[in-house]
Amino acid sequence: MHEMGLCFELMSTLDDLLKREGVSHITSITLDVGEASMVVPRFLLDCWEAAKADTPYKDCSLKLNLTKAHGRCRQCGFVFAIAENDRKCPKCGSMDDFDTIDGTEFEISEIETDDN
Amino acid sequence: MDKFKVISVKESVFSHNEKRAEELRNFLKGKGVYLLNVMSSPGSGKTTLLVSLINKLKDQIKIAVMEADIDGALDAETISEKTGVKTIQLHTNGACHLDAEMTKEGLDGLGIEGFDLVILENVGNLVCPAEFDTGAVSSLNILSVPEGDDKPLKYPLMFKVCSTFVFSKIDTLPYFDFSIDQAKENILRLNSKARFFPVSAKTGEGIDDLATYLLGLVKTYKEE
Repeated sequence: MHEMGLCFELMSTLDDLLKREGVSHITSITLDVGEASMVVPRFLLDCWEAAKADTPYKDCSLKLNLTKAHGRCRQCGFVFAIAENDRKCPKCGSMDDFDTIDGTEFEISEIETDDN
Repeated sequence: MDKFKVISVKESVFSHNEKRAEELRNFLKGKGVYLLNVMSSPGSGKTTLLVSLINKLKDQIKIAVMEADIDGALDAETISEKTGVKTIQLHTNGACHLDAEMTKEGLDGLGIEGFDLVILENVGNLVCPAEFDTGAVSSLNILSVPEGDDKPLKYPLMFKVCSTFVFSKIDTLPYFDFSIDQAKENILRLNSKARFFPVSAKTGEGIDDLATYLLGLVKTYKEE
């Protein structure tokens, strides 16, 4: 599954990050997940539970901060929320004719540690 | 002191792989080896196209191939049998993509010394391989006529990360509602620098143009 691969990559990036920050144990991670990032939040949360078993992250919880994706209409230039408007420009009615301007992020926003 | 400390990060989840990919690109540059990452959906004709392409190019540059599949060694055997170039089969053991570390291990196993072009045939999949930078110098996508010209609309990231686009199986154009112009338009919306090559590995149409273009890419890269 796509989200499983993402969980393993997340752990590799966390390994680098913890080393760089001098942190030994983290209790939670918050990710920014854009609506247009191709990540399914529910699958990601399920995969995290399975992926973290038997790793240094086994007691680390995953929190997702979901962000909306916006598009700029190619016909009239209007900026609108893509999912809410079912991919249709609410101003001129153009269907599926926009450039995605945000909501593609898949980032680690913050980590929480109980290190003293 | 608080029991918990929060550290603000704002870093891509893919940053571990992105660093490895950049290291690999620098390593390859030092060796003068052009790594081309070939991606598409399963059944687009990657292996058949590579056989035609390699047979056109192999007398002019030294080529090796890495085949990445979830299982099986069929593709490596086909390439090796029909072209005679050095080939290695990589198994991802269930993973749907290859990352930069796996690519480096594959290159080490292959032995790249003396090669001009290494072609990586990635796992057939339009989702995950697009997210994981392999460390290749550039990526080529194959979109076959039976798949339809709407694929760029459905899998946008794949069509953003590649720079060379091959429309394969054009000998079947009379039987499908595939418009080359529509496919180009759909890709150009995502990727204004895209280059297009309609080909048929069966009839040989378009293979010369693609071979000449790739030869140019490799030569420019080695002279830089």
